[in-house]
Amino acid sequence: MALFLSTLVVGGRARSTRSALLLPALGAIAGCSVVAWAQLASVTSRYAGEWLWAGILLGLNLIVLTHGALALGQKDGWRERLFNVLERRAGWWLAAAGFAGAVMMLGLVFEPRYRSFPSAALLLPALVYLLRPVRGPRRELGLLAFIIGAGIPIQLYREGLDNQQAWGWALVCVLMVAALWRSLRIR
Amino acid sequence: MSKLYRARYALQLQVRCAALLPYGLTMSATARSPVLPYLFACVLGVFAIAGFWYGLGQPVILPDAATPTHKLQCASYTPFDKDQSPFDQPFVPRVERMDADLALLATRFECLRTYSQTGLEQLPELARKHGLKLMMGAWVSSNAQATAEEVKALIASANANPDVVTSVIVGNEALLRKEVTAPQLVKLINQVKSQIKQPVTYADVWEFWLQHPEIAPAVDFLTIHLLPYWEDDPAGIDQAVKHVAQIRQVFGNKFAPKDILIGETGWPSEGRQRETALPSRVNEAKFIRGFVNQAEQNGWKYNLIEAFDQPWKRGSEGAVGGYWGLFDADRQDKGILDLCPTFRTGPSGWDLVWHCS
Repeated sequence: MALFLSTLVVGGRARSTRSALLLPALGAIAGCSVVAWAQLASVTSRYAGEWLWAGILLGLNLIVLTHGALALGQKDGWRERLFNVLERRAGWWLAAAGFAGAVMMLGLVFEPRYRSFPSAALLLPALVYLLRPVRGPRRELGLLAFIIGAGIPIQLYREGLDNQQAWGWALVCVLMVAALWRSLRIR
Repeated sequence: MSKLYRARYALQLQVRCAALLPYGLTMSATARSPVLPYLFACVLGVFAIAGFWYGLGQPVILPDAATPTHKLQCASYTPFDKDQSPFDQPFVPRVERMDADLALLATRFECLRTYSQTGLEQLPELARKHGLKLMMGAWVSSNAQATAEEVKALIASANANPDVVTSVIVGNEALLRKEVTAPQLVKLINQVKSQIKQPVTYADVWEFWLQHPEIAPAVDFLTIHLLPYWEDDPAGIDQAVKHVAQIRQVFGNKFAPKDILIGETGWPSEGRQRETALPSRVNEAKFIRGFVNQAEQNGWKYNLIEAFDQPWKRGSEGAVGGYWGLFDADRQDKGILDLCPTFRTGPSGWDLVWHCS
């Protein structure tokens, strides 16, 4: 709920009917997915490296949330300055999310037995950059989209079609690939 | 006034007005219209978040497995506090912790199963104090010297505490881990049998008893591990108890008249889904209660895995390894056995909305 309210505060006044509908929706998704990721990380993280990875992904989610809220909301004063800072590096955030997706997908394809499905970590970046593609390093984004996309059927095959958690991860990965693909097409 | 200028002027006016007025109540048509959609979306958003977390905290009512007047048979016990592991060198057992653990477990169980002698030197005395019996284990590994020390300590402890130690377990899943051969294991079992009065057994996943039939004649009873979640073909929660019953039936028929102990069975409360097998507190409670009910109807001997969540096991088994406990690592009731009919369902356990009293 705090994330939901923060999203509204950061976004400020909605400028159009579209953003008036999307800003609270963004906050609601963040209020579920980011907290769900924090929970999963607290249950699964064992070593400093795993805590660091989980923390970085949490930070990335908050950056993407801020970026998305500002893109939908008011654009003046500090909001405009912050938006410009985030917008200039938008390609980085997408590439970082794609990189994390590719790493986790490779883990789930080659060594899935002891890994949890990190769907909650990527849902928000995938949705934000699917709906609002950004320009980024094209070759790298293409490679990441390929790795994640190729992994989807393989991991579903390995997990069996009755595994709902695997389907959840597959769905998030489809969204991520679509976000990378749409961003690739921006010139 | 040019068209462009008029548009700029209108925009400036709009921005100025917006600064003076509360949210959305600006003078321009485009800025005024989002108020209703905005409020609508906010209400929807609040409901969505509340619904999501409420859904995960939904109570589920199940029949009890154990009550203060009806104790269960056995549970696996390792003496590690939340921050300890068998890899701590040297491992320093906390006697006060073990004392409190046994006091808690004595309210629910008749006996405890152990896996190693290391750090458990005081356990028989504590078990006697709390009225618990012990199925005592010796850790058999590829290190012959360490194994010999474990076996020696096991024999000494069994002989020194015949009132508490009801049976002994020479080795745990040592064949599965390929740390010993079957003939080596039989030799160890016979060595222990010749020196103590209590029954002697060995514990392994059920399939390894079938792969190594020469072990069964050496033991007084067979101890089989039946973990539906970890099967090569995992059983979902609805099939899990049935699967256990089928395997138990096969063993009962094949190895009669030797008795069978289901030495490890349980269900994890956290971790990844394996095919249809989904870890959750509700599923853990469903399994344990369903299994105990069936075991009592059929007169099966059993030991549940395990007393307390063991975070260190996540190191080798993934997240799921740390969440097989009937109590959590802080020794709080997970509501698996009874008294706490409210559960949090869902793929991950989070105690924010955990209502157990």
